[in-house]
Amino acid sequence: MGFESLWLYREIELLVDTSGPMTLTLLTELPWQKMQLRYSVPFDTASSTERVPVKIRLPGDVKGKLTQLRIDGPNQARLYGVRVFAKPLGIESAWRWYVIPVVETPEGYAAAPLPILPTPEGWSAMKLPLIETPLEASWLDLPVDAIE
Amino acid sequence: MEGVNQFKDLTLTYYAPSGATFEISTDLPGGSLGVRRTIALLATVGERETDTFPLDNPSLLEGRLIKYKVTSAGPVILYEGFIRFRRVGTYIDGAAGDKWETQPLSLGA
Repeated sequence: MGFESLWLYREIELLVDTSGPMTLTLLTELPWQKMQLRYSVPFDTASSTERVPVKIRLPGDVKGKLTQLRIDGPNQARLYGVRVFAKPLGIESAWRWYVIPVVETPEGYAAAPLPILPTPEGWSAMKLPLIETPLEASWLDLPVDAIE
Repeated sequence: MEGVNQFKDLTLTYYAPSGATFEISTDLPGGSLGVRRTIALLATVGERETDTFPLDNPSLLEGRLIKYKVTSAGPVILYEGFIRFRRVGTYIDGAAGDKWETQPLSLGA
């Protein structure tokens, strides 16, 4: 039979690209045995046009068996990674990074064709609308009235 | 928000002796379709030219929907074109009331 460990949280690292200020909120269930806001901090990477790491140092007393993270705000954010630096309470030197799952964004780009109807490289022949002239002459009965 | 794409650049093979304007509309940011990039296609000299136009300045072009429009004072023949894109895994549009939130997580036993 196992029990969930009590964790002490020290730092959160985001790999993110925002268009303006956003807010990270951390909730834990201690000390009131109910998920409540323990720390909230604004962050902004709008000065960069690429993904950048944002390190958020937590107060020294943030602990709990459960943790919940939230990002919201009035702007746009592209979240590429989240990890938490934590250790089980009571175990010395057990600090390590724990990755929080987010839906991944690929590093590379794929090519999508534009909806353009193809134009062939080669040429094809088209007949001109001419009535054919036979190569050889042929006999033709002329309509001549008989002389009586 | 799901289904958001980032667009890196556009490559076009075309013939436009009078030049042309290539407009790209997307629905982000804001949620409504609008012109986000206007590219000037210079007058071509030969029969067909291939050019690549960046879409990441000042930032990557983004959208769930994308639409193209070409206008010119003269004839334009579009032979081929493609746009390089990638799907954003986690996109939070706070202006649309979007937020990212995990379940209560336990880091381990």
